[in-house]
Amino acid sequence: MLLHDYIPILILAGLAAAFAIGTVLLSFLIGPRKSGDGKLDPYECGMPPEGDPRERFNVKFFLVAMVFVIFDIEIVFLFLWAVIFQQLGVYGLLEMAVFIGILIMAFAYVWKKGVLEWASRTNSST
Amino acid sequence: MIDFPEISWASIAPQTVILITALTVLAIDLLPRKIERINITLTALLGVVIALIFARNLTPAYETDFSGMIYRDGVSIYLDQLLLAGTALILLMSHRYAQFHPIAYGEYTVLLLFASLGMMTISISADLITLFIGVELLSLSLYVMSGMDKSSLSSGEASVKYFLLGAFSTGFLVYGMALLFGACRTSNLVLIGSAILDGGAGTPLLILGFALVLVGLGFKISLVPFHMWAPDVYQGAPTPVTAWIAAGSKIAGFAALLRIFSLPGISFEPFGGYWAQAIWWLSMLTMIIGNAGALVQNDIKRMLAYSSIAHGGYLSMAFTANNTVGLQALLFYLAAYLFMTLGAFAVVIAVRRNGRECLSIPDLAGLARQHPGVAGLMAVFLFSLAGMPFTAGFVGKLWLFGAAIQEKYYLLAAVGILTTLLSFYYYLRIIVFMYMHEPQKDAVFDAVPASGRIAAGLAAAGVLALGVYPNLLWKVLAAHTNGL
Repeated sequence: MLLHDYIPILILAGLAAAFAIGTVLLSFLIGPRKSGDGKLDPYECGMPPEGDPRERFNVKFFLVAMVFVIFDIEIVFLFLWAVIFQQLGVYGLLEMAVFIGILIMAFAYVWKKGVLEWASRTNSST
Repeated sequence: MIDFPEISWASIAPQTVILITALTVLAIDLLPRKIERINITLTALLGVVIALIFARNLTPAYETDFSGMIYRDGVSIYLDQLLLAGTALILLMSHRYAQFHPIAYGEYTVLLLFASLGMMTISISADLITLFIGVELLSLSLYVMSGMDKSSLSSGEASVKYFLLGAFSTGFLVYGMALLFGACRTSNLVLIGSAILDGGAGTPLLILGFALVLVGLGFKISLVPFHMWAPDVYQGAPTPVTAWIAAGSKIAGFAALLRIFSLPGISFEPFGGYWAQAIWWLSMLTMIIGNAGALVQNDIKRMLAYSSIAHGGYLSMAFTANNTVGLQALLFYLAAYLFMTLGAFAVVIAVRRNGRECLSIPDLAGLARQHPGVAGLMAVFLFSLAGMPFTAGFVGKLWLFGAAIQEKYYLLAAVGILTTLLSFYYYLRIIVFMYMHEPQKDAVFDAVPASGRIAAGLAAAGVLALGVYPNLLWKVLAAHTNGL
């Protein structure tokens, strides 16, 4: 095994760790310290939290997240495909057309069933 | 240019046709105007028939294809045909069922086709990845389908229970696969097989991997002690979905076991020594607890759930016996099981009383008086499930027990025979209610529709043909399995 191939990765890991530890250590050493109620909140900055987080969410959040994941994966796949597009030739183009064709079918379905219409209060699915 | 691997598209033609059919049905469902249910059913049926024709015309090839991802041998061709026949029957049943239950029929049909596609993917897989994709496609479709009856709370309950336990079991399955990959440094089943034969078969990683895969698949085919989800899910899910979980997902589960525990291209018995004992116990427990559980059920779907658990026990006997007869008996019994289970469910769906489903066994009292034909068909299925001579169930059990006896597993075969005798009680109980009890007060059975008659009639034809003339299939099986 050629271990020296991994030395850049090791250096990067070392730098990342040093940066993370260093900033925390520096702010611990030279930062001012004032305690107060605000410090004990879950989120120190921003709005004071309100209500219980364990409430029912609209299912649309879930649907949008799911659609996002699907198209995210498509993009990842497309990147790899695009890199070697020249070598793949027509065959690769057709293969990708089939893949995207299936996804477009799913997209049409999602669209038609109203998943993308955020504002409508009623579920427009038939 | 990159060198593309040799790909023969013909070997996945049935799968491709089903995929195209599913997408077509999805497109039809999206059309702006209202689509009649019959058009959706007919489109799907047409696709299934075309796929069946493609599957019939395939010739078995004893090498992997698609860079080692799929394996198109005789067994997979046979299983594809079984699954497609089953899909056609389920479509006929669903058509009737959707008339009375608020099911989004277009989506339902698409999911049904995707579930079948998943099963057919398992049957051709020669790689852990292909197999896993098949298992997931099948399971995810069935989780949603179990919850599709929005008017019924128990349908939702079934869906959630099925999903939670299914996800849990998938965890076992995928972890086991990861360990197998770690032990053999390949996910290809043929290469895993040769890695094991080259030595290292006893490494802890490998044993743990196979054990976890066995647990994961044990959930899918509801072997005791992994059967807890089955009765609730079978009872709650819409009846055609229950039928497809009982028949289709069980065939697919056994196909997966077959793919992993008898690696393609090597033989049926590379792991006989290790797994015979583990599966011996599973098979034993499953036969006893499945049949004992069925004795006390009063709900037909629950009874059929326990019956399907028990049949899983009989089927897994083939993996203990681990010989060629066992493999052929397993494949034969899968066909018999498909026809008799789907037939019984077809009758349960077709028979309605005063506009409601007849789900408890006493509801069927006096059915023979009003609908002698349907009651007769139900009797055929129940006799076959119990294992009466001249039905497919009898021949299948005979061969399975014979395979176990051939390998000197006398106790296993004896338990199989004894539990079969036990099962006569609960199967015959339904027949007694149908034929010998007076109908309940103001009970009027609704007319049985043509789709129900066709589905049940076809299934009965299968059961009787295989029971009276088993050589019909036996010769095919002998030809398909001689490469193993």
